[in-house]
Amino acid sequence: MQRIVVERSGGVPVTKRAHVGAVASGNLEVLCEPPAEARATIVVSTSVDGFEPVWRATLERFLERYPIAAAIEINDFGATPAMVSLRLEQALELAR
Amino acid sequence: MNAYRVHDLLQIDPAVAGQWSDAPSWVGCALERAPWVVVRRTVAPNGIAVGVRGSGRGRRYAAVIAPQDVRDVRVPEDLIARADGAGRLGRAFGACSTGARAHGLTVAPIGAYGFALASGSPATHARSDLDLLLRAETFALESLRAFAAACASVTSRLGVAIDVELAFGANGLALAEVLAGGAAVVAKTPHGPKFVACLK
Repeated sequence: MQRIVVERSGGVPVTKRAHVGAVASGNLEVLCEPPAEARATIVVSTSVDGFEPVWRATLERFLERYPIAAAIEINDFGATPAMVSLRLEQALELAR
Repeated sequence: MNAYRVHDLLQIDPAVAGQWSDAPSWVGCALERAPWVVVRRTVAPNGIAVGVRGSGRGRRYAAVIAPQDVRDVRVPEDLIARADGAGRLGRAFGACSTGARAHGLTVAPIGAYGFALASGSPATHARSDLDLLLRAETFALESLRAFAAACASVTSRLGVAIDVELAFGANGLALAEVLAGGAAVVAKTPHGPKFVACLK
């Protein structure tokens, strides 16, 4: 089990709470909430160790593309980066 | 194109790993121990896309093999008869299988338990979840709900998390997500994950 945190200040806050995804192999859950302050905080708990650079690149790319402020929690069960990106977009769609 | 489907287990000659120049050192050891690989969902134009399982979840190696490298095949349904009900995953599989049959469904073992049944090599650990495949050529949402409830009771009774993949051809959905009833679900497809409108 590994924990990865990515933060970025500024951004447009999301307005609603969203929970998407599945607790399943090769999948993940994303919980997105309006932030306490104007920053994006993404906290990842993953069952698969050793992929921190891939996580950081995927999350940075997401925040680059969608400059939001939100508190995002990810529970990962070995999802691919493509699955992670799709789930983040799905959560954002429901939260803003 | 090839005749194999995602989750099929293929026995190969472990020497094939010698051609994989970028393979980490554990790959050869894993194949010496159990010369079985699992067919991946990805399309490989010039062969069969497979994955090698190492010990631990971070140890997965993706490769492409040629049809002539395959010595033997177990499709998930072949493994149903091999499940002997032993161990926590065996007991959980037996209970889920009975639960599925009661609602006219058939589930087959995939993931670590499927690999252990095919290869005879222990691939599971004390906290492994039970991965099941449910091929959904035709189904009623009510049967799926009843089956999911049966799985939930197995989880609470035996302490085994159960993950059911609903397969439509080469595409797979997480049963839990389908039943959660959101507006859209994500399907795993041979071309990566895609949104699909939810079945209602």
